[in-house]
Amino acid sequence: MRSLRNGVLGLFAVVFLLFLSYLVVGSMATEWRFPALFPNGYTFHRWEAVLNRTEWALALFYSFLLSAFVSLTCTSIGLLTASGLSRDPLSTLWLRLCYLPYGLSPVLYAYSMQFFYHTTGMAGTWFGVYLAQFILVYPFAVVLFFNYFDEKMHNLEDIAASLGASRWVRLKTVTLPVLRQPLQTVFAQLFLVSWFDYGITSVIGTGQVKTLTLFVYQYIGESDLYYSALASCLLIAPPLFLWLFHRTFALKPSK
Amino acid sequence: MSFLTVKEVTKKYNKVNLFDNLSFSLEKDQVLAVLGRSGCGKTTLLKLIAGLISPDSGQILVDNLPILDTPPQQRGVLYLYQEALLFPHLTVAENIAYGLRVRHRPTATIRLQTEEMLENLELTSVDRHFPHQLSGGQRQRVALGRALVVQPRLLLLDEPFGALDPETRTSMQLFFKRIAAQYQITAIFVTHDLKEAVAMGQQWALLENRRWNHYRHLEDFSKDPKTGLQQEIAYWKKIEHQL
Repeated sequence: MRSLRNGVLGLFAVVFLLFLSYLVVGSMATEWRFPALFPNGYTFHRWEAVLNRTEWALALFYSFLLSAFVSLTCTSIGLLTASGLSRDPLSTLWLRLCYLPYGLSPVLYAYSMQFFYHTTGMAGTWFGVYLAQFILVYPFAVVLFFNYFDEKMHNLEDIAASLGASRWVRLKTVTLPVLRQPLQTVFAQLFLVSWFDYGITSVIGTGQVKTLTLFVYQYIGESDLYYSALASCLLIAPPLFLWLFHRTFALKPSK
Repeated sequence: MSFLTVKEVTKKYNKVNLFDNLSFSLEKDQVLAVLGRSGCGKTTLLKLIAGLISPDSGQILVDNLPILDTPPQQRGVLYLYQEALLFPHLTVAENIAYGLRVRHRPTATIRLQTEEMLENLELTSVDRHFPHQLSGGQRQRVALGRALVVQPRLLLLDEPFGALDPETRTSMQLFFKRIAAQYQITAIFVTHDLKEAVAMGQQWALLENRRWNHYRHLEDFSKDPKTGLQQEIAYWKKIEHQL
Protein backbone atom coordinates (compact mmCIF):
# COMPACT_ATOMS: atom_id res chain seq x y z
CA MET A 1 0.00 0.00 0.00
CA ARG A 2 2.84 2.33 0.97
CA SER A 3 4.80 1.51 -2.20
CA LEU A 4 1.67 2.12 -4.34
CA ARG A 5 1.22 5.50 -2.66
CA ASN A 6 4.88 6.36 -3.24
CA GLY A 7 4.58 5.22 -6.85
CA VAL A 8 1.53 7.42 -7.50
CA LEU A 9 3.20 10.39 -5.78
CA GLY A 10 6.36 9.79 -7.81
CA LEU A 11 4.33 9.73 -11.02
CA PHE A 12 2.68 13.03 -10.07
CA ALA A 13 6.08 14.53 -9.32
CA VAL A 14 7.45 13.42 -12.71
CA VAL A 15 4.41 14.82 -14.56
CA PHE A 16 4.69 18.09 -12.67
CA LEU A 17 8.43 18.40 -13.33
CA LEU A 18 7.87 17.66 -17.04
CA PHE A 19 5.20 20.35 -17.13
CA LEU A 20 7.46 22.81 -15.32
CA SER A 21 10.42 22.01 -17.62
CA TYR A 22 8.16 22.50 -20.65
CA LEU A 23 7.27 26.00 -19.42
CA VAL A 24 10.85 26.95 -18.58
CA VAL A 25 12.20 25.63 -21.89
CA GLY A 26 9.29 27.27 -23.77
CA SER A 27 10.02 30.62 -22.17
CA MET A 28 13.68 30.45 -23.31
CA ALA A 29 13.21 28.90 -26.76
CA THR A 30 14.25 30.95 -29.79
CA GLU A 31 12.01 28.81 -31.98
CA TRP A 32 10.13 25.65 -31.13
CA ARG A 33 7.76 24.25 -33.73
CA PHE A 34 6.01 20.91 -34.05
CA PRO A 35 7.28 18.19 -34.54
CA ALA A 36 10.67 19.26 -33.10
CA LEU A 37 11.22 17.61 -29.69
CA PHE A 38 13.49 20.41 -28.49
CA PRO A 39 13.84 24.07 -29.48
CA ASN A 40 16.45 24.95 -32.04
CA GLY A 41 18.08 27.46 -29.68
CA TYR A 42 17.84 29.21 -26.34
CA THR A 43 17.71 32.84 -25.38
CA PHE A 44 17.29 34.87 -22.21
CA HIS A 45 16.16 38.00 -24.01
CA ARG A 46 12.47 37.53 -23.09
CA TRP A 47 13.31 37.07 -19.44
CA GLU A 48 15.59 40.09 -19.54
CA ALA A 49 12.93 42.14 -21.29
CA VAL A 50 10.25 41.09 -18.85
CA LEU A 51 12.36 41.58 -15.76
CA ASN A 52 13.35 45.03 -17.03
CA ARG A 53 9.74 46.05 -17.66
CA THR A 54 8.11 47.75 -14.69
CA GLU A 55 4.66 46.58 -15.82
CA TRP A 56 5.54 42.94 -15.15
CA ALA A 57 7.27 43.60 -11.89
CA LEU A 58 4.29 45.62 -10.72
CA ALA A 59 1.84 42.92 -11.83
CA LEU A 60 3.82 40.31 -9.90
CA PHE A 61 4.08 42.53 -6.84
CA TYR A 62 0.42 43.61 -6.80
CA SER A 63 -0.88 40.09 -7.58
CA PHE A 64 1.10 38.75 -4.65
CA LEU A 65 -0.07 41.57 -2.41
CA LEU A 66 -3.71 41.09 -3.44
CA SER A 67 -3.68 37.33 -2.89
CA ALA A 68 -1.76 37.65 0.38
CA PHE A 69 -4.23 40.25 1.64
CA VAL A 70 -7.30 38.28 0.51
CA SER A 71 -6.04 35.07 2.08
CA LEU A 72 -4.86 36.78 5.27
CA THR A 73 -8.13 38.61 5.92
CA CYS A 74 -10.32 35.68 4.86
CA THR A 75 -8.30 33.22 6.98
CA SER A 76 -8.50 35.36 10.12
CA ILE A 77 -12.12 36.49 9.76
CA GLY A 78 -13.16 33.03 8.52
CA LEU A 79 -11.60 31.42 11.59
CA LEU A 80 -13.45 33.73 13.97
CA THR A 81 -16.71 33.32 12.06
CA ALA A 82 -16.48 29.52 11.99
CA SER A 83 -15.62 29.52 15.69
CA GLY A 84 -18.74 31.55 16.53
CA LEU A 85 -21.14 29.89 14.10
CA SER A 86 -20.12 26.36 15.07
CA ARG A 87 -21.48 26.99 18.59
CA ASP A 88 -24.79 28.35 17.36
CA PRO A 89 -27.83 26.06 17.53
CA LEU A 90 -28.46 26.89 13.85
CA SER A 91 -24.88 26.00 12.84
CA THR A 92 -25.99 23.59 10.06
CA LEU A 93 -28.09 26.32 8.46
CA TRP A 94 -25.18 28.81 8.57
CA LEU A 95 -22.88 26.25 7.02
CA ARG A 96 -25.34 25.65 4.18
CA LEU A 97 -25.58 29.39 3.59
CA CYS A 98 -21.81 29.52 3.24
CA TYR A 99 -22.10 27.29 0.18
CA LEU A 100 -24.48 29.75 -1.52
CA PRO A 101 -21.83 31.81 -3.37
CA TYR A 102 -20.71 28.60 -5.09
CA GLY A 103 -24.08 28.15 -6.76
CA LEU A 104 -22.82 30.62 -9.36
CA SER A 105 -19.56 30.50 -11.30
CA PRO A 106 -17.18 33.33 -10.31
CA VAL A 107 -17.66 35.02 -13.71
CA LEU A 108 -21.46 35.00 -13.39
CA TYR A 109 -21.15 36.27 -9.84
CA ALA A 110 -18.85 39.07 -11.06
CA TYR A 111 -21.26 40.02 -13.84
CA SER A 112 -24.20 40.08 -11.44
CA MET A 113 -22.27 42.40 -9.11
CA GLN A 114 -20.84 44.58 -11.88
CA PHE A 115 -23.53 47.26 -11.58
CA PHE A 116 -22.83 47.71 -7.88
CA TYR A 117 -19.09 48.10 -8.49
CA HIS A 118 -19.65 50.59 -11.31
CA THR A 119 -22.07 52.78 -9.35
CA THR A 120 -19.80 52.84 -6.31
CA GLY A 121 -16.77 53.63 -8.42
CA MET A 122 -14.95 50.50 -7.28
CA ALA A 123 -14.84 48.86 -10.71
CA GLY A 124 -11.37 48.91 -12.18
CA THR A 125 -9.71 49.40 -8.78
CA TRP A 126 -7.56 47.04 -6.76
CA PHE A 127 -9.87 47.52 -3.79
CA GLY A 128 -12.89 46.58 -5.92
CA VAL A 129 -11.18 43.36 -7.02
CA TYR A 130 -10.12 42.67 -3.43
CA LEU A 131 -13.69 43.13 -2.18
CA ALA A 132 -15.13 40.94 -4.94
CA GLN A 133 -12.61 38.17 -4.21
CA PHE A 134 -13.18 38.56 -0.46
CA ILE A 135 -16.94 38.05 -0.87
CA LEU A 136 -16.30 34.81 -2.73
CA VAL A 137 -13.35 33.48 -0.71
CA TYR A 138 -14.58 34.37 2.80
CA PRO A 139 -17.45 31.81 2.90
CA PHE A 140 -15.00 29.25 1.56
CA ALA A 141 -12.73 29.96 4.53
CA VAL A 142 -15.68 29.51 6.90
CA VAL A 143 -16.55 26.17 5.26
CA LEU A 144 -12.94 24.99 5.52
CA PHE A 145 -12.65 25.94 9.19
CA PHE A 146 -16.08 24.74 10.24
CA ASN A 147 -15.11 21.08 10.61
CA TYR A 148 -12.17 21.91 12.85
CA PHE A 149 -14.50 23.45 15.43
CA ASP A 150 -15.87 20.14 16.61
CA GLU A 151 -16.93 19.15 20.12
CA LYS A 152 -13.35 18.48 21.20
CA MET A 153 -12.20 21.93 20.12
CA HIS A 154 -15.14 23.52 21.94
CA ASN A 155 -14.33 21.53 25.06
CA LEU A 156 -10.67 22.62 24.93
CA GLU A 157 -11.79 26.24 24.68
CA ASP A 158 -14.28 25.74 27.53
CA ILE A 159 -11.59 24.20 29.74
CA ALA A 160 -9.37 27.21 29.04
CA ALA A 161 -12.28 29.51 29.93
CA SER A 162 -12.94 27.79 33.23
CA LEU A 163 -9.19 27.93 33.98
CA GLY A 164 -9.48 31.71 33.76
CA ALA A 165 -8.66 32.54 30.13
CA SER A 166 -10.58 35.38 28.53
CA ARG A 167 -11.87 35.09 24.94
CA TRP A 168 -8.74 36.74 23.50
CA VAL A 169 -6.37 34.68 25.66
CA ARG A 170 -8.22 31.49 24.65
CA LEU A 171 -7.78 32.38 21.00
CA LYS A 172 -4.09 33.16 21.48
CA THR A 173 -3.14 30.27 23.75
CA VAL A 174 -5.46 27.45 22.67
CA THR A 175 -7.35 27.95 19.39
CA LEU A 176 -4.50 29.28 17.25
CA PRO A 177 -1.78 26.87 18.46
CA VAL A 178 -4.09 23.83 18.23
CA LEU A 179 -5.24 24.84 14.73
CA ARG A 180 -1.77 25.91 13.56
CA GLN A 181 -1.58 23.32 10.79
CA PRO A 182 -5.14 23.83 9.45
CA LEU A 183 -4.52 27.58 9.54
CA GLN A 184 -1.52 27.24 7.26
CA THR A 185 -3.35 24.85 4.95
CA VAL A 186 -6.41 27.11 4.69
CA PHE A 187 -4.21 30.17 4.12
CA ALA A 188 -2.39 28.39 1.28
CA GLN A 189 -5.67 27.22 -0.29
CA LEU A 190 -7.22 30.68 -0.16
CA PHE A 191 -4.04 32.22 -1.54
CA LEU A 192 -4.24 29.88 -4.53
CA VAL A 193 -7.94 30.60 -5.14
CA SER A 194 -7.19 34.31 -5.25
CA TRP A 195 -3.90 33.95 -7.14
CA PHE A 196 -5.36 31.97 -10.04
CA ASP A 197 -8.61 33.94 -10.23
CA TYR A 198 -9.37 35.18 -13.71
CA GLY A 199 -13.16 35.73 -13.90
CA ILE A 200 -13.64 38.21 -11.06
CA THR A 201 -10.44 40.13 -11.78
CA SER A 202 -11.18 40.57 -15.47
CA VAL A 203 -14.84 41.60 -14.97
CA ILE A 204 -14.54 43.79 -11.86
CA GLY A 205 -11.02 44.95 -12.75
CA THR A 206 -12.29 46.04 -16.22
CA GLY A 207 -8.82 45.51 -17.66
CA GLN A 208 -7.32 48.21 -15.46
CA VAL A 209 -6.31 45.84 -12.69
CA LYS A 210 -3.56 43.75 -14.25
CA THR A 211 -2.70 40.63 -12.33
CA LEU A 212 -0.23 38.03 -13.53
CA THR A 213 -3.06 35.58 -14.26
CA LEU A 214 -4.55 38.14 -16.65
CA PHE A 215 -1.19 38.47 -18.41
CA VAL A 216 -1.07 34.70 -18.94
CA TYR A 217 -4.56 34.68 -20.43
CA GLN A 218 -3.69 37.67 -22.58
CA TYR A 219 -0.69 35.88 -24.13
CA ILE A 220 -2.65 32.65 -24.54
CA GLY A 221 -5.32 34.70 -26.32
CA GLU A 222 -2.62 36.12 -28.60
CA SER A 223 -1.29 32.57 -29.22
CA ASP A 224 2.17 33.67 -28.08
CA LEU A 225 3.62 30.39 -26.83
CA TYR A 226 6.89 31.86 -25.58
CA TYR A 227 5.46 34.71 -23.53
CA SER A 228 2.61 32.50 -22.26
CA ALA A 229 5.21 30.05 -20.98
CA LEU A 230 7.18 32.84 -19.37
CA ALA A 231 4.12 34.34 -17.70
CA SER A 232 3.11 30.86 -16.49
CA CYS A 233 6.56 30.40 -14.95
CA LEU A 234 6.10 33.64 -13.03
CA LEU A 235 2.56 32.60 -12.09
CA ILE A 236 3.65 29.25 -10.75
CA ALA A 237 6.64 30.56 -8.80
CA PRO A 238 4.83 32.05 -5.75
CA PRO A 239 2.45 29.06 -5.22
CA LEU A 240 5.43 26.74 -5.62
CA PHE A 241 7.31 28.72 -3.01
CA LEU A 242 4.23 28.60 -0.78
CA TRP A 243 3.95 24.84 -1.25
CA LEU A 244 7.62 24.30 -0.40
CA PHE A 245 7.25 26.52 2.66
CA HIS A 246 4.13 24.59 3.69
CA ARG A 247 5.87 21.24 3.25
CA THR A 248 8.91 22.38 5.18
CA PHE A 249 7.16 24.00 8.12
CA ALA A 250 3.44 23.19 8.27
CA LEU A 251 3.54 19.48 7.52
CA LYS A 252 6.15 18.67 10.12
CA PRO A 253 4.67 16.12 12.53
CA SER A 254 3.15 17.91 15.52
CA LYS A 255 4.60 17.24 18.94
CA MET B 1 -24.08 26.65 55.83
CA SER B 2 -24.38 25.97 52.13
CA PHE B 3 -21.56 26.95 49.79
CA LEU B 4 -23.28 26.14 46.51
CA THR B 5 -26.96 26.84 46.09
CA VAL B 6 -28.93 25.89 43.00
CA LYS B 7 -32.33 27.55 43.17
CA GLU B 8 -35.31 26.59 41.01
CA VAL B 9 -33.25 26.08 37.87
CA THR B 10 -35.10 25.14 34.70
CA LYS B 11 -33.40 24.09 31.49
CA LYS B 12 -34.85 22.83 28.23
CA TYR B 13 -32.76 21.02 25.66
CA ASN B 14 -34.24 20.40 22.21
CA LYS B 15 -37.65 21.37 23.63
CA VAL B 16 -37.33 18.65 26.30
CA ASN B 17 -37.36 19.77 29.92
CA LEU B 18 -34.18 18.49 31.55
CA PHE B 19 -34.82 20.17 34.90
CA ASP B 20 -37.93 21.71 36.25
CA ASN B 21 -37.30 23.98 39.23
CA LEU B 22 -34.23 22.03 40.30
CA SER B 23 -33.00 23.08 43.74
CA PHE B 24 -30.26 21.78 45.99
CA SER B 25 -27.35 22.97 48.07
CA LEU B 26 -23.88 21.77 48.97
CA GLU B 27 -21.70 22.64 51.94
CA LYS B 28 -18.04 23.66 51.73
CA ASP B 29 -15.32 20.94 51.56
CA GLN B 30 -17.88 18.32 50.63
CA VAL B 31 -17.86 16.00 47.62
CA LEU B 32 -21.32 15.38 46.20
CA ALA B 33 -21.57 12.29 44.01
CA VAL B 34 -24.35 12.57 41.45
CA LEU B 35 -25.75 9.40 39.95
CA GLY B 36 -27.97 9.23 36.93
CA ARG B 37 -28.49 7.48 33.64
CA SER B 38 -27.07 8.78 30.37
CA GLY B 39 -29.06 11.72 29.05
CA CYS B 40 -30.66 12.61 32.38
CA GLY B 41 -28.96 16.01 32.39
CA LYS B 42 -25.92 15.44 34.65
CA THR B 43 -23.50 17.07 32.21
CA THR B 44 -25.93 19.93 31.53
CA LEU B 45 -26.16 20.59 35.26
CA LEU B 46 -22.37 20.84 35.57
CA LYS B 47 -22.11 23.08 32.50
CA LEU B 48 -24.79 25.36 33.96
CA ILE B 49 -22.82 25.75 37.19
CA ALA B 50 -19.56 26.26 35.27
CA GLY B 51 -21.19 28.95 33.12
CA LEU B 52 -20.65 27.14 29.85
CA ILE B 53 -24.40 27.23 29.17
CA SER B 54 -27.18 29.33 30.67
CA PRO B 55 -30.36 28.17 32.42
CA ASP B 56 -33.78 29.20 31.15
CA SER B 57 -34.67 30.39 34.63
CA GLY B 58 -33.51 30.08 38.22
CA GLN B 59 -30.48 31.17 40.18
CA ILE B 60 -27.11 29.69 41.14
CA LEU B 61 -25.15 31.05 44.10
CA VAL B 62 -21.62 30.32 45.24
CA ASP B 63 -20.76 31.58 48.70
CA ASN B 64 -24.15 33.34 48.74
CA LEU B 65 -23.32 35.38 45.64
CA PRO B 66 -25.24 34.91 42.39
CA ILE B 67 -22.88 33.77 39.62
CA LEU B 68 -25.10 33.54 36.55
CA ASP B 69 -23.97 36.93 35.26
CA THR B 70 -20.31 36.13 35.94
CA PRO B 71 -18.37 34.84 32.88
CA PRO B 72 -16.91 31.31 33.25
CA GLN B 73 -13.33 32.58 33.58
CA GLN B 74 -14.24 34.62 36.66
CA ARG B 75 -16.38 32.09 38.50
CA GLY B 76 -13.59 30.09 40.08
CA VAL B 77 -15.54 27.00 39.12
CA LEU B 78 -13.65 24.33 37.23
CA TYR B 79 -15.16 21.73 35.00
CA LEU B 80 -13.36 18.45 34.27
CA TYR B 81 -14.49 16.25 31.41
CA GLN B 82 -14.44 12.50 31.03
CA GLU B 83 -11.64 13.01 28.54
CA ALA B 84 -8.56 14.68 30.03
CA LEU B 85 -8.57 17.34 27.29
CA LEU B 86 -5.01 18.44 27.84
CA PHE B 87 -3.73 21.14 25.53
CA PRO B 88 -1.87 19.06 22.92
CA HIS B 89 0.73 21.73 22.12
CA LEU B 90 1.84 22.12 25.76
CA THR B 91 3.99 19.87 27.91
CA VAL B 92 2.76 18.36 31.18
CA ALA B 93 4.33 21.19 33.20
CA GLU B 94 2.95 23.83 30.83
CA ASN B 95 -0.51 22.28 31.01
CA ILE B 96 -0.46 22.42 34.80
CA ALA B 97 0.86 25.97 34.78
CA TYR B 98 -1.74 27.15 32.23
CA GLY B 99 -4.31 28.44 34.73
CA LEU B 100 -1.66 30.31 36.69
CA ARG B 101 -0.23 31.87 33.54
CA VAL B 102 -3.56 33.19 32.27
CA ARG B 103 -4.13 34.65 35.72
CA HIS B 104 -0.82 36.50 35.35
CA ARG B 105 0.75 35.08 38.52
CA PRO B 106 4.46 35.93 39.01
CA THR B 107 6.83 33.59 37.19
CA ALA B 108 8.48 32.41 40.39
CA THR B 109 5.09 31.51 41.91
CA ILE B 110 4.08 29.67 38.75
CA ARG B 111 7.28 27.61 38.80
CA LEU B 112 7.03 26.82 42.49
CA GLN B 113 3.36 25.84 42.45
CA THR B 114 3.75 23.80 39.27
CA GLU B 115 6.69 21.88 40.71
CA GLU B 116 4.77 21.26 43.92
CA MET B 117 1.77 19.99 41.99
CA LEU B 118 3.92 17.77 39.77
CA GLU B 119 5.46 16.24 42.87
CA ASN B 120 2.08 15.74 44.50
CA LEU B 121 0.74 14.06 41.38
CA GLU B 122 3.89 11.95 41.04
CA LEU B 123 4.43 13.38 37.56
CA THR B 124 7.86 14.98 37.98
CA SER B 125 9.51 12.39 35.73
CA VAL B 126 7.19 13.22 32.82
CA ASP B 127 7.01 17.01 33.25
CA ARG B 128 8.45 17.65 29.78
CA HIS B 129 6.34 15.04 28.04
CA PHE B 130 3.54 16.01 25.68
CA PRO B 131 0.01 14.67 26.29
CA HIS B 132 0.23 12.04 23.55
CA GLN B 133 3.22 10.50 25.34
CA LEU B 134 1.22 9.82 28.53
CA SER B 135 -0.98 6.94 29.65
CA GLY B 136 -4.70 7.46 30.28
CA GLY B 137 -4.21 7.61 34.05
CA GLN B 138 -1.34 10.07 33.77
CA ARG B 139 -3.40 12.30 31.49
CA GLN B 140 -6.24 12.40 34.02
CA ARG B 141 -3.80 13.22 36.81
CA VAL B 142 -2.43 16.13 34.76
CA ALA B 143 -5.99 17.32 34.10
CA LEU B 144 -6.71 17.16 37.82
CA GLY B 145 -3.45 18.95 38.67
CA ARG B 146 -4.16 21.65 36.08
CA ALA B 147 -7.49 22.26 37.81
CA LEU B 148 -6.26 22.06 41.42
CA VAL B 149 -3.27 24.35 40.98
CA VAL B 150 -5.55 27.39 40.52
CA GLN B 151 -7.34 26.49 43.78
CA PRO B 152 -10.88 26.56 42.39
CA ARG B 153 -13.76 27.37 44.70
CA LEU B 154 -15.71 24.49 43.22
CA LEU B 155 -14.62 21.50 41.16
CA LEU B 156 -17.04 19.83 38.76
CA LEU B 157 -16.04 16.37 37.60
CA ASP B 158 -17.97 14.81 34.73
CA GLU B 159 -17.27 11.06 34.88
CA PRO B 160 -13.55 11.85 34.96
CA PHE B 161 -12.44 8.22 35.21
CA GLY B 162 -15.06 6.79 32.86
CA ALA B 163 -12.62 6.20 30.01
CA LEU B 164 -10.02 4.38 32.14
CA ASP B 165 -9.50 0.65 32.55
CA PRO B 166 -10.79 -0.81 35.86
CA GLU B 167 -7.36 -1.01 37.49
CA THR B 168 -6.34 2.56 36.63
CA ARG B 169 -9.82 3.73 37.55
CA THR B 170 -9.54 2.29 41.07
CA SER B 171 -6.11 3.83 41.58
CA MET B 172 -7.40 7.19 40.32
CA GLN B 173 -10.35 7.01 42.72
CA LEU B 174 -7.98 6.45 45.65
CA PHE B 175 -5.77 9.22 44.35
CA PHE B 176 -8.70 11.65 44.10
CA LYS B 177 -9.84 10.80 47.63
CA ARG B 178 -6.37 11.64 48.93
CA ILE B 179 -6.11 14.87 46.93
CA ALA B 180 -9.67 15.95 47.82
CA ALA B 181 -8.84 15.61 51.53
CA GLN B 182 -5.45 17.32 51.12
CA TYR B 183 -6.78 20.33 49.18
CA GLN B 184 -10.16 20.45 51.00
CA ILE B 185 -12.04 20.33 47.75
CA THR B 186 -15.69 21.20 47.32
CA ALA B 187 -16.78 19.14 44.34
CA ILE B 188 -19.61 17.62 42.39
CA PHE B 189 -18.60 14.24 41.05
CA VAL B 190 -20.90 12.95 38.33
CA THR B 191 -20.88 9.26 37.54
CA HIS B 192 -23.20 6.52 36.38
CA ASP B 193 -21.22 3.93 38.34
CA LEU B 194 -22.89 3.13 41.66
CA LYS B 195 -19.72 1.79 43.27
CA GLU B 196 -17.76 4.86 42.23
CA ALA B 197 -20.49 7.15 43.58
CA VAL B 198 -20.36 5.43 46.96
CA ALA B 199 -16.57 5.53 47.03
CA MET B 200 -16.13 9.14 45.98
CA GLY B 201 -19.02 10.99 47.64
CA GLN B 202 -19.58 12.39 51.09
CA GLN B 203 -23.10 13.24 49.99
CA TRP B 204 -25.09 11.67 47.19
CA ALA B 205 -27.74 12.67 44.72
CA LEU B 206 -29.81 10.76 42.23
CA LEU B 207 -31.04 12.59 39.13
CA GLU B 208 -33.92 10.66 37.64
CA ASN B 209 -36.88 11.74 35.52
CA ARG B 210 -36.13 15.43 36.17
CA ARG B 211 -36.25 14.77 39.93
CA TRP B 212 -33.40 15.47 42.29
CA ASN B 213 -33.07 13.17 45.30
CA HIS B 214 -30.41 14.37 47.72
CA TYR B 215 -28.97 12.09 50.44
CA ARG B 216 -26.73 13.59 53.09
CA HIS B 217 -26.02 10.22 54.74
CA LEU B 218 -24.98 6.95 53.16
CA GLU B 219 -27.68 5.21 55.16
CA ASP B 220 -30.41 7.27 53.48
CA PHE B 221 -28.85 6.65 50.08
CA SER B 222 -28.67 2.96 50.75
CA LYS B 223 -32.26 2.71 52.00
CA ASP B 224 -33.81 4.29 48.91
CA PRO B 225 -34.55 1.45 46.45
CA LYS B 226 -34.27 3.91 43.55
CA THR B 227 -30.51 4.15 44.05
CA GLY B 228 -30.08 0.41 43.47
CA LEU B 229 -27.53 0.09 46.28
CA GLN B 230 -29.55 -2.48 48.20
CA GLN B 231 -29.93 -4.65 45.10
CA GLU B 232 -26.20 -4.35 44.45
CA ILE B 233 -25.37 -5.43 48.01
CA ALA B 234 -27.90 -8.29 47.79
CA TYR B 235 -26.37 -9.43 44.51
CA TRP B 236 -22.84 -9.59 45.91
CA LYS B 237 -24.07 -11.28 49.08
CA LYS B 238 -25.72 -13.90 46.92
CA ILE B 239 -22.50 -14.45 45.01
CA GLU B 240 -20.58 -14.68 48.28
CA HIS B 241 -23.08 -17.22 49.55
CA GLN B 242 -22.71 -19.31 46.40
CA LEU B 243 -18.95 -19.35 46.88
